[in-house]
Amino acid sequence: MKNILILLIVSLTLLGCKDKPTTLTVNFKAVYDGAPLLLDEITTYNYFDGSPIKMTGFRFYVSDVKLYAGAEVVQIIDIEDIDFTSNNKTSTGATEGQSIVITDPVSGNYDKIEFSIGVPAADNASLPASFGYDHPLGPSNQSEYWDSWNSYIFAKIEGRQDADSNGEFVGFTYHTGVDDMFRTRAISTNFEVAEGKENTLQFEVDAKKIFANSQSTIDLVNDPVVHTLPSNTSSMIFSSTISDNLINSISIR
Amino acid sequence: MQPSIFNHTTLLITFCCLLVTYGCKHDPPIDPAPSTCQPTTGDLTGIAYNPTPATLAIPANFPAMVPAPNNPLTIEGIELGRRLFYDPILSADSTMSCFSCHMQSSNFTDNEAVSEGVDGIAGTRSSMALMNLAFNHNPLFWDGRVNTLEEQAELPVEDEIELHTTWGEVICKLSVHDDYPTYFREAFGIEDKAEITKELAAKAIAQFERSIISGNSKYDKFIRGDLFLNDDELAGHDMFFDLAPNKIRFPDTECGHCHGGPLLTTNEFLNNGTQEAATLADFADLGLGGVTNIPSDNGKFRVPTLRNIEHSAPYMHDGRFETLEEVIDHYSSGGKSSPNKDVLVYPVTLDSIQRSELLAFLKTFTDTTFMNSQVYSNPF
Repeated sequence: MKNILILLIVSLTLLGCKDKPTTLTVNFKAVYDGAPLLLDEITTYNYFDGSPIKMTGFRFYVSDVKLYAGAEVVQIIDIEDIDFTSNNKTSTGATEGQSIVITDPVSGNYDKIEFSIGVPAADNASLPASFGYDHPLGPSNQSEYWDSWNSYIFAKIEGRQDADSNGEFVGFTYHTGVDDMFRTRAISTNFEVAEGKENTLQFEVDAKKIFANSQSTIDLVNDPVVHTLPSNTSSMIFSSTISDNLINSISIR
Repeated sequence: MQPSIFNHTTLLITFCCLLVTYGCKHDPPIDPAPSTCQPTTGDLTGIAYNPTPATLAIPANFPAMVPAPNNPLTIEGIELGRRLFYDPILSADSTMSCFSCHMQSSNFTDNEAVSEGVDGIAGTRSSMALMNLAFNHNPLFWDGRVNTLEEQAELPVEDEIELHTTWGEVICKLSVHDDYPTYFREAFGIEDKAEITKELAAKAIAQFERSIISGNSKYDKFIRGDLFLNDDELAGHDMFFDLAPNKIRFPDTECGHCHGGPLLTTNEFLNNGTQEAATLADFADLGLGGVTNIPSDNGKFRVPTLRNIEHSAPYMHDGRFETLEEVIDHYSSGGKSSPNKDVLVYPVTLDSIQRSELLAFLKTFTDTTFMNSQVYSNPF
């Protein structure tokens, strides 16, 4: 009787272990200078000169997310639209962030994570109609395709600044696109995808860092609206800076 | 004393008449008259049920249709929906139907600032143009109150300001009708007249609405490479989509962000600066915020398509602008101030030439083939 009981317990344990799936949740959280980023038209943040700003829209395409274990590479995300604009209207949504759940990822210990911001050139040469309806590049995301560029809009950063701190907020909007704005970055870090566990890979993007780097700070008053216009050199330089800053604003927590 | 009594009586009658008249104009809608329709049953299985899948001619520059797996398009379903769309049987007094506010000759609007329903009471918003809805993945109505065309089609029938009847009454009238039970059988396979429901009626109307496609404007032909725009239209195109490096000659009017793509709308919900509001709570019409209860959504409305825009006057959610020139004035002024006005609505200086070029380009969105198509016309 005792043996039967032990056998039953061992069988149940093994069965339980076998059935527990491995998942990897890739979560993106947006912050502003470390505080949860709220896109609610109410919450203000301090710009570099101390003036208040509100963020009102923030999204970008993340693509080709890969895990490295030495020379071994595992791609976990092809492309996703990380759009904070709706969810981050509330503090609950801002705290939750945007998640992509990957089932049955390759478990193991990794030492480097690589990711890109934007749409890879091959896909960027295609129209939304070329993709499945709910694909991140498909018709349901038609508003992220900009016909004039023949390109997807890689990132949108929108908000308002009260430059004179007199209560009058003036809008700014930066949209990046075209192949030249595609950026890739690798971050060395130890990360384990444990077998049979619910694993989480946590990205954090600090919106404040999009507006400055070690060389310059974006002048929201004098450059309030910049789209990536290939025929305009200054527009391309500006968009390039935004693209560099955006990918560098992302860290792994 | 007689004249005195007569005068008092006259005064009293006059007073009562005034009260009644005043009441008719300003009282809230009264309940529809009690139904005289007697529901009926009747076997329909003797009628063939072989629905024919409908394949729509989707323009080459269009995306795929939004999947609607619970309401596949059939020839019979679309035709039933077309009849219901145009049949005043849907209204309390059999005077109005969907087409009353969505006329094909007016780009499926009614060219009124706000529409009046069967009781002569005006609503608060302008009727929206109906076309290319099969490709819209966002919520419907100006305020996004429903998610599907099927849900949308159910609402006007019982709306107090619109058709102001009940679905029970409509279903009864349909079930005793000489032809509709047969049409419902052919479209949806019902076996008895008693199986006609508002859900099936709404499905049929939704099918007809999905079938309404406009994709043969001059702009579409230009996009497909079939023709060129003239110089004025091209200049307007470059300003509309921010394509020219010379911003003095061709300023970026920012139109294309919200009215881009083959549908000439992103179907997003935005505040385009039509309402002055000191705070997010101060909008006269809350729009999307009235549905979501999220303050930052207040004052936002669905971005309408610009297809056939020259035939869709008056403009904006409340029909406040009579002409496209007024619309251009509005946007170039930067619109009215409010906390969440879209950041792309800001002052843009346009001279008279640039305005006329922009106008010329807007008129390339006109699709007369669509507006004259017999396929979408009144079958009665």
